[in-house]
Amino acid sequence: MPAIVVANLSKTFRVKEKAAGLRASLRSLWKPRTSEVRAVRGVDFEVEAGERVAFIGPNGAGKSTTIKMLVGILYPTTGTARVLELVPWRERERLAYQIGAVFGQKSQLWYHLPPQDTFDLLARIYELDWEVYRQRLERLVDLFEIGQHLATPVRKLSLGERMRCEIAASLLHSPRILFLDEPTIGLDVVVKHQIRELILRMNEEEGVTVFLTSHDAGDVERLCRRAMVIHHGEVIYDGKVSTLKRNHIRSKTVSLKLGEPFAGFRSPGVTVLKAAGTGVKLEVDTRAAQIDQVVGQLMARYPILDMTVEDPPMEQVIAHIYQSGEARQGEDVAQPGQGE
Amino acid sequence: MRKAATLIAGYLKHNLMSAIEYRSAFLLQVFGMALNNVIYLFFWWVLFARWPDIRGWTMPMVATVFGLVAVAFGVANGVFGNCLRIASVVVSGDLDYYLALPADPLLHVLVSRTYVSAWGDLISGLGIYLLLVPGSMARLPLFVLYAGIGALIFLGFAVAVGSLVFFVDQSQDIAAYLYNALISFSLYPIDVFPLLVRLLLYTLVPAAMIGTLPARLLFEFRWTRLAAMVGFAALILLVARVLFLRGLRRYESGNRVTVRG
Amino acid sequence: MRKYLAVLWTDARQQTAYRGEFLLRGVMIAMFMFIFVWLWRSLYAIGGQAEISGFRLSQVIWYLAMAETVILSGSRIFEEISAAVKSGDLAYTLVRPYSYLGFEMAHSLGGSLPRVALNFVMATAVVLPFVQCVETTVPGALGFLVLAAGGLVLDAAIAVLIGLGAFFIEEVQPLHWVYSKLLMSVGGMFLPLDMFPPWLQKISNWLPFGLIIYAPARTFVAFEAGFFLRALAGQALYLLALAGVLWSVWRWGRRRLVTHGG
Repeated sequence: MPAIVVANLSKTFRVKEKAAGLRASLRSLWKPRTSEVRAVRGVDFEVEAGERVAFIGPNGAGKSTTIKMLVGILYPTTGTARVLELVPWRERERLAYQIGAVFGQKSQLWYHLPPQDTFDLLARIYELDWEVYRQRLERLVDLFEIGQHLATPVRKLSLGERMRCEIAASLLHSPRILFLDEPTIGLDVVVKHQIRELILRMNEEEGVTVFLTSHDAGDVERLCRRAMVIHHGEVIYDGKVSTLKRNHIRSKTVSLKLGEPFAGFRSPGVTVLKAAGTGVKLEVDTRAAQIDQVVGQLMARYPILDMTVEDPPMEQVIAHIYQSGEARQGEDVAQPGQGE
Repeated sequence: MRKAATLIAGYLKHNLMSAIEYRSAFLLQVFGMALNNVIYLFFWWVLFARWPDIRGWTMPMVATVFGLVAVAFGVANGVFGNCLRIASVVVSGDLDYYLALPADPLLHVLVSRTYVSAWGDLISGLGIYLLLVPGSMARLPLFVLYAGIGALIFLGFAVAVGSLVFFVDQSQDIAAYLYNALISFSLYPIDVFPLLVRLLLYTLVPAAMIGTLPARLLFEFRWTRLAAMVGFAALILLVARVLFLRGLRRYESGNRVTVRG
Repeated sequence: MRKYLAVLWTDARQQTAYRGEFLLRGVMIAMFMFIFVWLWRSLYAIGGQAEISGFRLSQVIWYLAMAETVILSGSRIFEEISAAVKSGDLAYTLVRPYSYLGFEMAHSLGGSLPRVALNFVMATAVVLPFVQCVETTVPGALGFLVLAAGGLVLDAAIAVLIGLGAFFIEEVQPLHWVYSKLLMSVGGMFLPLDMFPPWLQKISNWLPFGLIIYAPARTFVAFEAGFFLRALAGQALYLLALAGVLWSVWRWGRRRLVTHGG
């Protein structure tokens, strides 16, 4: 039985229009004008136990709304979902004992106390057997390397240390699914790497299903094997991350700092995005040109002081998917359930 | 001087307009505070029902004191809404924003905000004075004048105490308690206190200057009293400004007082 | 149940994490007690009586000390709750396996606990030198503890209700002002209800505010079994009623959150 089953899930919000001016606001008291926002439109997917899924999309695409429905804190307008065989919004409390959630902005840790205190408290909240909890904590502390931070007040920890404690806290009760909403936001490269490795290990060793939303391409690439792209409330791609890359990442961005002012560069497949003095940003179409050749040409032409080669931002990838009109691929669509 | 006036007027208008945008919240806060104050007088009313004269104090006197203090507080926090927040503005680093602009930083900081509820204080203070004190109409202009001077004293005190944060670490909390002390003490008939305390209330924590002294002035005018009040106001404003400027110089020289949390 | 006690205890510890800041709060009550001692000395001196409404000066002062101890430990949780409602952060707490109401009540009481202790110590420190005796008895002190606890629970429940008011109105601050002023006036914070004019006493006796301030404070200085039991019953009744209101408001609010996303 899959861990998560979603069929035809939709959510439409009714938003009151706020008008400007006195007359309009008076009028709105009388006859409020509402408009509909279809945040999620008929989403279908299944997630097997132990999978690592990335749920990506631009802001306002419907990511948070979907996760909120999966976790049970939002009712859908139509459609069904079953998480660990429970209907989230009906059996929220039962589900709560079996899932872990890390919402990037909302911390579970008590700010002025050391993490140890929050852990003890969580053990009580999740009604864990004290011995079991102790052993579990020891293991997590070892794995996450937070032993030295256990007695330091949370406000004194760095963002990276805090995040590790946060994720450890969400795993204390050995949940079967871990929902992560932008877990690496604001962290530096090294710490991001650490966090990803930890989540990966938890998944491999304990089989925790990982359901992750992120803006960060690195999170997606490193951590997940499967990606679902949501845009305007619809899943426009559902398949392997490697396929996503192969089909839709067609270019690389090369940022350069030159030893002399930039005076133009022509090469098939290369577009100059930005140029100012000695700084240049180029886009290289990887279908039309080879990155190493382009770099070689650049080096022959200009002295190069610094260079970065990057994947395009996630937004661009998604826009490309959308434009190319590719519908959902990969997994089978779940059977439509009863409407709610 | 004209620039200062334009700044004050400009911000006042802007702050009020933006507060009124949120109509229901604005009204709620203003009337909430007014009600708040009226209920406070209730205690005095019960007391005076039993003891009509407490060390020379009567209900009309207490109502006068209350009116004066409320209006003074209302004007100070309505027009110079940031006066109680000087310490936090400095500590949070927001001061830098003002320093970069071509206006007097102290004045700018002070007027860039209004406390909506302070207008409730203003209205209720006026109302209480007019309703509960016989013969109040006749003395209204003087009342307004004294409340205005009281507002300046309050302002001076707030700025002086707030500026301590330039010199003493973590003094925001002490500042907050001093404001509270000022307001609390100013509402009680100071003649019940021992001499030493009364002395304190005329000087370091000038509660008597804002409440008792102007009230006495209204009931029995004496030039010496007026002179004392005006003189004190001038003095405290001067001290406040000097403290702030000195502190500012220290701040600008890079000796940051606290680390941003 | 254990989990809520754990929340309470954790919160109490968080409050005392900053020792300096915490102790400074004690200054507030010291200041008020100072003012009151002098005020009441004068009042008694003017009348020349040894007793007013059955209270000696020392009793009135201790009454005020206990009244202040309770009221200055009151809940401030309405701010947090209203902010969480308005920002929508409230929704995220629904993921955790606990009752939101239970959690917030525990949170509030956890905050009150250290404050009660501090206030009691500070008030006593100011009052003792002036009055030079402690006006209480063993049943009085115990009765105080029981009624104060009940009063603080009532106060917490009201604060949570005010916080949830954010579902209905923009600014709940005025609601709290009104509550707090009612508490101060007809709750008996400034003077024992016995000193009120009779008609006002009658009204105050029916309202819950006196049960939070007057009842525990009076029991401390003048224990009376009948009064104690009636007060306890009153607290229980109001708590029951409040629990009902809170529950319905919460269910309504939660339903709205979950249907509309906040």
